[in-house]
Amino acid sequence: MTDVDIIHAVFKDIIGRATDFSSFDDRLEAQKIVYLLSQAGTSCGDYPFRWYKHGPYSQQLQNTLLKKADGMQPVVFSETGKAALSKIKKMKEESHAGYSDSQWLEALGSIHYLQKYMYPTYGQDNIIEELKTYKPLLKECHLNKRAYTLLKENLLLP
Amino acid sequence: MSTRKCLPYQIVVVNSILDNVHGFIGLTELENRIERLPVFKRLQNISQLGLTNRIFPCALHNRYIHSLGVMYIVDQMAVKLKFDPDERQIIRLAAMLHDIGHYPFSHDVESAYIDAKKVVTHDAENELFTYANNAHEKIKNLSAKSNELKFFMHGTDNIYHHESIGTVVIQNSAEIKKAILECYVDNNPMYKNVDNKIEAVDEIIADISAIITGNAQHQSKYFGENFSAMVQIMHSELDADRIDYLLRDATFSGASYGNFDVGMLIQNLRTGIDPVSKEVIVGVTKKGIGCAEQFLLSRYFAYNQVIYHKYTSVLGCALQSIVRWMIEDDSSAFPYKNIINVAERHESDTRFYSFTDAYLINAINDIDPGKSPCPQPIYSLVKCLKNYQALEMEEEVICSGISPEKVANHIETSKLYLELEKTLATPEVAKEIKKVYQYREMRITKHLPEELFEALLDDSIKSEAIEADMADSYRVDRLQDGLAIIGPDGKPSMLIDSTRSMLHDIYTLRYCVLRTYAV
Repeated sequence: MTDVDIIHAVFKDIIGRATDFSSFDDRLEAQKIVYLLSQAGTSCGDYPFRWYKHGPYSQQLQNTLLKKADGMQPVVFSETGKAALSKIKKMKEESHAGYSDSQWLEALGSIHYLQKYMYPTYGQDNIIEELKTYKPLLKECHLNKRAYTLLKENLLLP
Repeated sequence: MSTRKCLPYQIVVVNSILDNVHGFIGLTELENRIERLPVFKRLQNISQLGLTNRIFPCALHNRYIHSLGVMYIVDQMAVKLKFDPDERQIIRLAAMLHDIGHYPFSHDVESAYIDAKKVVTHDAENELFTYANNAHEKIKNLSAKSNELKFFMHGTDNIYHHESIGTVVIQNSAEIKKAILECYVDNNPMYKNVDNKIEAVDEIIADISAIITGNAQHQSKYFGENFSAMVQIMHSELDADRIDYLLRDATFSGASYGNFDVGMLIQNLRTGIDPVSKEVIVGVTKKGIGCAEQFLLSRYFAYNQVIYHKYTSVLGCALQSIVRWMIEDDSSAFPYKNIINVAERHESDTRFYSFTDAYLINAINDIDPGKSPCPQPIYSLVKCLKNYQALEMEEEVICSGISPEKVANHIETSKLYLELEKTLATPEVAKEIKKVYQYREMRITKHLPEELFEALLDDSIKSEAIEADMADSYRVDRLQDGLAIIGPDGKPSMLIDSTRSMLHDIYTLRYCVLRTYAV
């Protein structure tokens, strides 16, 4: 089982289908999923993140996504892993008409990163304003607020 | 460096702690208050080098004095770089608190938590197979790793990393916040026009958290101009943490490998401005090249002679496995499984103060398969620690050199590695492994010379591993993290690119060792 296999298994568990990560949207979704999982208490590997234009981004993760999966050994999730995966899946499946699936994950990941790592003293309204500054395409205010609330409800934000 | 005209806060020493590495370390009133808090005093019971004192008997120094030592060094750097007193106080505080979230026995237990919380399952019954597989994976990627692009000054760490735990402690410490308010913010002209002083304290806590975790992207409200430099002197290839631990580990272990001319190094510190990004870069002048090289070589030798000593290394590994099992096992009553919650509530539920070396050793000594089940491989390691024994080394293969291909070839064609490969190739045999395999590697620097770095950037853009407009961010990140030289015109370049430095030729120097131990 390699690092690549783990990411493939995680993606399939959350999104519900396999991928070879040749699509930009799949890679973007993988970035946000792995980031949110890391904040939900489980790690998929050594993937530090920083802000880049589509939100929290890990170059090490990007390097992994561009490799071929080995697929020789099955990936078995730990209890910690299962709990975190369930949390992120639930947030991902929350109704988000107005955003594509990628945009919704981008909103969740970006709001979290802005609040925790860039503007930790800001309140919800200011964070949502900052999100619009950094990402004008994520302009559905009610969805951004819902994303913020979900992050708090799932204890990813205090 | 500040352009603000208001009267500065003054760094006034009210108390001193005697340290046998730096002499007297002065504390301001703010630091004196924090020094007395149980959450800081706890660090007196956390060894800096884990179980190394079982091999180097005098390596008994702790995280407490190391934290004060880092504060001492960072302040010397800050004075040299002409930080104003407000900036000095914040960076001193960040240095003092940088290890406040550390685990007992330091990095070995931290690794246990990080491993225990992975998304994939781990079977403690097959612990020896896991060691073998990990060693094999690291060696398999020996030459591949150096050709991947990555950021060094990143924003996040694993949430179980001691720095992340430290930020949880600080953010949830009413006592630390009160001290900052009463000793620093109140009566400070810098905050006289701030209506909500509590918010100012929260901003300062956020700044300190960002400095501790190396988050150079954090938007500091009060120290925007100089914040990047503040992060770099606590988080880079040349930072106060490394300076102190090298000197301290050399003093206490008795091994001289970590010694270097710290006075000369700090004397030659400067800041420069990257002409493209306009970011502040901390580095040394050309006169500082010799001591910068000495610093890197000292660290290289300190690791391969002390940290990666054949017995200290495997003791750490054993401890890591035992603690990992204690965290993962459902039947284990280990009260620190959810360490983040324990750290958050440390002022109301004081269990965090007891999370020390002494607690953990007692908990390990209490492990008894007669009372509750414990996997055999884990109990073998427990018995070693209980009886003050180290695992007996059976064989080792070591290679140190500047040619990555030769070093990789030496390891990969060794009898030991070939035996490992053969064992792992047969699953039935692999599950019955009866020895511990361990691989360790130390490189003199993780950075590439400019020519290779730019080629890697080009390749990464062409293969779409990165977008073209990220290239400048990578260039700045390289300068901020790596050891930089600041020219007379203030322009930064890398030590690794200077023909005046031996690093120009030996940047690929690495030490690799594969060992087996009988269980």
